[in-house]
Amino acid sequence: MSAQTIACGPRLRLRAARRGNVLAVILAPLLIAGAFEGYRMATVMRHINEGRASLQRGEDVLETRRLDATAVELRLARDEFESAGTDFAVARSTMRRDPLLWLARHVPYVAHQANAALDLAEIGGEASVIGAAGVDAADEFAAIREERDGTLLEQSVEVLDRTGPSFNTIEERLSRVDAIRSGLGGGALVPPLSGAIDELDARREKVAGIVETYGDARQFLPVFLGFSAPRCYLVLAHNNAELLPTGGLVSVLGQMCLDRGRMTAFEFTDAVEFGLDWIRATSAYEAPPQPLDRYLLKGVTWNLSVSNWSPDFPTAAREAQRFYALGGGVQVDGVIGINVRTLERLLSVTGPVAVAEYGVTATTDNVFELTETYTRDPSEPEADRKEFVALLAREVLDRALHPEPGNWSRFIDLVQKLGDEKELLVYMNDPAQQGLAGDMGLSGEVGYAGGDFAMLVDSSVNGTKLNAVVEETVDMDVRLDTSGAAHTTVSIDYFNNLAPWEAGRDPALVKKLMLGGVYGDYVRLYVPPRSTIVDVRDEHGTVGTEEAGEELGLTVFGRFITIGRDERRRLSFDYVTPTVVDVQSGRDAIYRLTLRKQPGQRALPVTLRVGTPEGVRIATVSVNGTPAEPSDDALRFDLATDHVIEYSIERTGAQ
Amino acid sequence: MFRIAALLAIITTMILIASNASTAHAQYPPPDASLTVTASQTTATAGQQVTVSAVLRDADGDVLANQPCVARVASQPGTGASVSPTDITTDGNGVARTTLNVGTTPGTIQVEVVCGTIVGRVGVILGAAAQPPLSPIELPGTGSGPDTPSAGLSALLLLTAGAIALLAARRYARLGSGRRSRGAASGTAN
Repeated sequence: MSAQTIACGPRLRLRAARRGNVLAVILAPLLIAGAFEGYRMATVMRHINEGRASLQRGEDVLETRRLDATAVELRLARDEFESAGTDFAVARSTMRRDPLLWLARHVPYVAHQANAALDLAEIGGEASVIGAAGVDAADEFAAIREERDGTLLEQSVEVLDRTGPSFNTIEERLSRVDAIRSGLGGGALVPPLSGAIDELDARREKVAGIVETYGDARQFLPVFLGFSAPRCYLVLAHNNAELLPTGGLVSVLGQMCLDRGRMTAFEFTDAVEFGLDWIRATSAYEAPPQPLDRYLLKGVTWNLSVSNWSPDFPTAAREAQRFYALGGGVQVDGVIGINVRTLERLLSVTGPVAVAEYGVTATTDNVFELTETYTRDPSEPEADRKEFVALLAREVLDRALHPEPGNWSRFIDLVQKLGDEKELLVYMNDPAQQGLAGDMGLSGEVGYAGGDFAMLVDSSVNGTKLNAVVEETVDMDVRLDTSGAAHTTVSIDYFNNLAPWEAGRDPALVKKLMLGGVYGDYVRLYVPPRSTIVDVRDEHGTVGTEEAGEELGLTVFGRFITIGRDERRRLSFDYVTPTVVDVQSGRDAIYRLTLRKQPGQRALPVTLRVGTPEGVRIATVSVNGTPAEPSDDALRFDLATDHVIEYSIERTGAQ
Repeated sequence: MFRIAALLAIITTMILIASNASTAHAQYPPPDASLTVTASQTTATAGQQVTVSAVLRDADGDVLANQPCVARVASQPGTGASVSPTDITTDGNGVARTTLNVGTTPGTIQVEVVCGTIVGRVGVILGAAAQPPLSPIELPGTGSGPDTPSAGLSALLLLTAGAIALLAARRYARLGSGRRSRGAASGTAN
C-alpha cells in the first residue's frame, strides 16, 4: 500500500459520509411520504374492505330471509348498508383528495383507469342506498304483514303504495348508476375494472328488471283486483293428465269477482254439466277445428272443455269466453288458467292438507289420484262432482291467503315458478292490462320474434288421463347451412308407461281414467314462418304429415299418433327453415333458438345438437343468458320453462 | 320483494286449482277406436303415386281385421289427384291400403279414410314450397365472450370494491416506492 493511497483514505471516507448525508436528506422525505401514503392506502383499503363486508352481510340477510325477515334482522341489514355507504364515502373522499391519484387522473391511459376506479366507488355508494331502500320496502311489507288486517288480496294495493317510495328511490339511484356508467365510456380498462364493469352491466339489468316489473305490477294489480272497479274473471281449471294445448282438458269453470281485493263472488261450475246444459238447451253445433273433430269430438259440437285447441292462451281464452257466453255465462273481464301441477306445487308449500269429510290428506304426491277418485262419474246420479275439490280448495285457499310465518318467501318463489313454467296464465280483455300481463310473463302468448323457434304441442285426443304416465323426450338436431337456414329434425320419443301406475290400483279406477290404455296424441310442431316440411317419420319410416300451414305467425306441422299400453314410439319431423342465423355487423353471427314450453306439460328432457357448415364453428353457447358447455356436442336440459339458446358462430381459425 | 304483488293477484286463482281433475267424458263421445292414416311419402313430385295406409285399432289398441273402409281425396289444390281403390278392407294386421295419384297441381292433397264412424287423414305435399334462398351468408371471423351471469348487485359491488382496492394498492405501492418525480409531488402536496 503506498503513502498516497494511505493519505487519500480519510478524504474518501469524508466524501462518502457527505454522500450518505445527502442521500439521507433526499430519502427521508420520500420515506416519510411513502409511509404516509402507505397509511392512506391502508385506510382506503380498510374502508373498502369493510364496505364490501357490510354489503355482503346486508345482502345475505335480504337474500336468505327476504320477506320472512324479522324486524331485528332488517335492522341489522339496514345498519350494514348504512355502514357500507359510509365506508365507500370515506374511501371515495380519500381517493379524491389524494394528490397522487389527482396526478394520475391527468396522465393519459392512467387517467381513464383512475376515473373508472373512482366512478365504481361512487356506484358502490349508490348500491348501498339501493340496498337500504330494499330494506325500507321489506320493513313496510313486514309492518303490513304484522297488521294481519284482511287477506293478502285486500292488502296488496297497500303493499304497493307503501313500498312505492322505496322503489322510487331504487329507480332514482339506478338512474344515477346509469349516468355514472355512461361516463365510464368504452375505453380499455385493466382487467379488475373491466370485469367489474361487465358485472355491473349484468346486475344493472337485473335491478332494472325488478324495478320494471314492480312498475308493471303497480299498474296491473289495482285494476286486476277491482280497486278501480269491480272485476269478474272466468277461471279455467285444466286437467293436464289429459293434456290439451294450454294446459289440459277444461274440467271445472270458476267465476270469480273481486271488489277492492275482496272476493264478492266465487262459484264452481262443472264443465261437463255446463256443456251439457248448453247442448240440451240449444242443440247448438259449433264446428270444431278439423283434427279435434276427427279424433276426439267425432261429430259432437266444439265446446268449452276443449275450447283451448290453440296453444296461444289469448286465443284460447277468447274462445272460452265465447263458449261461456253461449252457455249463459256472464260477461267477464278476463280469463285465468291453472292446472293440476299448479295445485301440486302449491301443496308443496302449504304442506299436506286434510279433508276431514273424506278422511284423507292431500299431498303433492297423491292429489291427482285423490281428486280423480273422489270426483264421481257424472253417470252416478247422487254424485256431487265438486264436493271434494271444493272442500280441498277451501283449505288450500285459506293457507295461501294466510301464509305461516317463514313461508312468505316460499310462496313468492312458487308464484314466480308457476309463471315461468306456464302453469298460471292470465288473459285480460283490456288491451293495456293484457300488455302488462304479457310484460309480467303471464299471458301465455305464442308468436314469432325472429331467429329459430320450436314449440311442441301435444293434445290428448283419446279421452284418457294417460299424460299422467306417458313419458316423453325430445331430440333436436339442427344443421345450419351456408345460407343461414336450419335443416332440423325434431324427434319425440314416447313411452306409455302405464304398467307401474296400474299395479296395485283399483281396476275400476284404472279403467275409468285410462280406458284401454291407448294414448292418442295429435302432435303439432310450431316452427319459424315459411318453414317447409321434408318428411314426417315414425320408428318404421315415413308416415306423412296431416297438417302443414301457417298459424300464429308460425308454420305448424301436425300428425296423429297412438301409443299403446307399455309401447315405445318415435315421431320425427324433418323440416327446413328460412334464414334464421343473424349476422351482426362487425360481430359474430348469432344462431338463436327459442324453445317454448307447452302449459301443463312436464319438463321434457331435451337433447339439442347444432352443426355448422364447413369454414365456421361455434364459438360460445349460452342458455337463457348463462354460458353453457355442450357435452358430446350436445346440450341437455329439461324444458321446465321457455329456453333461449344462443350460439355465436365464427370462422374456423379465428382468434 | 316486488313479486309479492304478482303473488297476491295470482293466489286468487289458486282456489280453483284443486278442481281441475274431474273425469269428464260428456264433452266428447266415449272413445271407441282409432284410425291412423299414413303415406309412404311426405312430399311428392307431379304424377307420382303414393301408397296410403290406414291402421284400425279398437279402444284397447288391438287391430281390427276385415273392416270395410272408404278412402277419398278430401281436399286438393287442383282436380287431378285421386285415390284408387276407394273401397278398401283392413287385412289381418288391421291395415287397409290404397294408392294416391297426386296429379300435377302443386299443393297439399289430403286423403281421408273412413272406417265406420272412425276417420283418419294424411296429407301429401306436391312440389314442396320453395326452399330458402341459398346465397351464402358472410360470417365474421371474430368471437365474443359469454354473457355474464347475474348474482346480485351487491356481489358486483364486492368485485368493484375489490378492483378498486387492487388498483389503489398497486398505484400507491408504485408511487410510494420511489418514482422520483411523483414521489416529490406527493411530498409537496402533503
